[in-house]
Amino acid sequence: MNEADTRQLVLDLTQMQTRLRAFVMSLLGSVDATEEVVQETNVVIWSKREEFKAGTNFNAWAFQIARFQVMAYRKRRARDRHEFSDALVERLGDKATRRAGAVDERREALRRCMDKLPVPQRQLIDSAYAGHESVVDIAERTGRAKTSLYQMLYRIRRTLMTCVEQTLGAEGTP
Amino acid sequence: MSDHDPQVEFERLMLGMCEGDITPEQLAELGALLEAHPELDDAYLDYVATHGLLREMLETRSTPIALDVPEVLYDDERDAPDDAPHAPVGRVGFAWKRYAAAAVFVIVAGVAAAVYWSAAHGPTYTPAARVGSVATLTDTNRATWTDDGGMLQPGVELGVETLRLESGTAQVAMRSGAVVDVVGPAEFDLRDGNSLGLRRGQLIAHVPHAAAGFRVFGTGYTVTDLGTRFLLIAHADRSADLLVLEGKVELAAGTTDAVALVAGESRRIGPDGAVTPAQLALGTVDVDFDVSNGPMPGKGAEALGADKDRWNSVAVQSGRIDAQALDKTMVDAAGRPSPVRLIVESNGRLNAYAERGASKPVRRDVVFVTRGDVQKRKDPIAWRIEGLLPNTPYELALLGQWEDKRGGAVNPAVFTVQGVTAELDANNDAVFTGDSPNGHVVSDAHGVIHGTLGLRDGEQFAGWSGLQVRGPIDYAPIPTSNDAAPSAAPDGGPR
Repeated sequence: MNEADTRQLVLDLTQMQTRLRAFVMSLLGSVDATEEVVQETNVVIWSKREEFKAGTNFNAWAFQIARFQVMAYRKRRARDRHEFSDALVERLGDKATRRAGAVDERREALRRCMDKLPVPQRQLIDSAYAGHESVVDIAERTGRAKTSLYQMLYRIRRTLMTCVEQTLGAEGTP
Repeated sequence: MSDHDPQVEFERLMLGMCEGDITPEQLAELGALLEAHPELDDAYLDYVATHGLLREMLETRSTPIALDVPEVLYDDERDAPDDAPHAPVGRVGFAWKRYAAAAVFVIVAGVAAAVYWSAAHGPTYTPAARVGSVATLTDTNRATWTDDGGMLQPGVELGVETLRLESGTAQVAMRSGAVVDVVGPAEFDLRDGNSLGLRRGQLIAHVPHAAAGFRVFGTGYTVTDLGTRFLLIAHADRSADLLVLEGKVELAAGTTDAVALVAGESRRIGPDGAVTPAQLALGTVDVDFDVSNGPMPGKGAEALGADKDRWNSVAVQSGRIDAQALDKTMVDAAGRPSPVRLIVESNGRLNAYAERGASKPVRRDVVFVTRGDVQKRKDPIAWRIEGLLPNTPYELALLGQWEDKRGGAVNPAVFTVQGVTAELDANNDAVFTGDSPNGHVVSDAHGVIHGTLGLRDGEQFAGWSGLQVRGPIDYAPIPTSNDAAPSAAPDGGPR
């Protein structure tokens, strides 16, 4: 792997940290376990970088590695109580890995859908995810109840999910 | 549905999961629910993926890792600005220690030093008034975008994203206050509130001192503006041309030391990063704006580099406008919401509405052009321009005529401005001079200029095509008797 390829891999991996974390989280549920597995996944991806074929889907490759790391984690912690069963993790892992190849399309669709949100909804979701203030802070600033904001955010996410699915469906993305 | 409906249970548990306060017991409950109901798998994965992507797209960069910026394009350690924004506190959901793993990774990957450095010293910028966005699209002219789905309209908030302008021009107000005019075809990445990457195309950056430090990253070079204006053209062969129009910029390219350039100086940056002197030929920007026959003339093409009075382009809207259109937020040159707008009402109902989002950095011109009519059998029409500075003089122009489908001129409407009837000239337009010794109109204590539109005696129909307001005029606000109380509106003005 030449320097340019290496730099590209660094870029790709850096860019995908959030979605990698989401992927692992979907299989483990636990925040702490997710952190541990994501760190291990990063190290494994780096050690296997020579095996990655330029031009192939990096997301799918990295998510496959993450999936194996989830399984390895669960084996190491076999004595611990896992919230998700092996069968469930296997099933979700299959589906999540299949979806990994379309994550860029999903991201683009989400961007478009966010642009369609009415201004107040867009402002709320922007505020909530920007990281400058917590939902509690937003509640205090806007004079709304925290639970009400949680519910509003949940509805907005649901709206976005629906829109994304419609957008991807219209474009023929699986 | 009962509380034991799997869908209801699922929604309840996912709400907790997304907000980061799900307990281990609830998580186990969710696992059992999913196991028993495979039909929920896709919804579950959608929630988690959507949540993750939202964080990826909206969370402002705040730690030593850039997760969403193509840093590798810009490969010089001198890209690194001087300091970094503060880490955020408190986030929505999934209280992940998100950057720890990536930090470990970057330490392992020694080759990523430049990436780390560049991101660790993120540009300084003022936190966004609307968090989550880094810029606002403030104007377009015959702009066609690649795959925007019709969403890239003036007023839209822009995040960290790549924009591909196939043709036409677009103006982007960065959150820092820098304003960038981009000429297509162009491809550029918004990186944060005070920097962007230019892959190809042409831009002119107008950078007020408050936004000094604004950066444009090209392939292998960086232009840092120190509060000025410059033109940058990124060619398809990865070379680029830089011309400083005003003030001073710093150019860092290749392996040589950064050079400072002052107004009038230009450089060519070769594909290999070599910097050589260049003589740039100035092009023109085609703007869809023509009031050359109007009382405040403007030109349709503006020479680059000439510090001429720049007008904002024209917004046209008429008829009944829905509430959503009224929610559009205008943004001034500093990226702040600007409330300036023209509203035309008939008996309290909206009759026409126009607004323009951008103001240029040097002066704050606003042009409104719309088109409407006045009919005898309908209610009187009142107009007002809101959101101006209070008690401040502005130039106001009235455009009183348009042509019908056969090219014939219709009768011009009769304008009044704050109770004074305007005299139109032979072209049926005028700069209004009716209530100020300086020939300007003074806004009231609420920052409003208002008036009416009417007919001459015996007329059944008349046309009007717009109003322009320019200013504020550069002298101190004039105290008026309106200071103490809201203006009465004998002519049906502001309510």
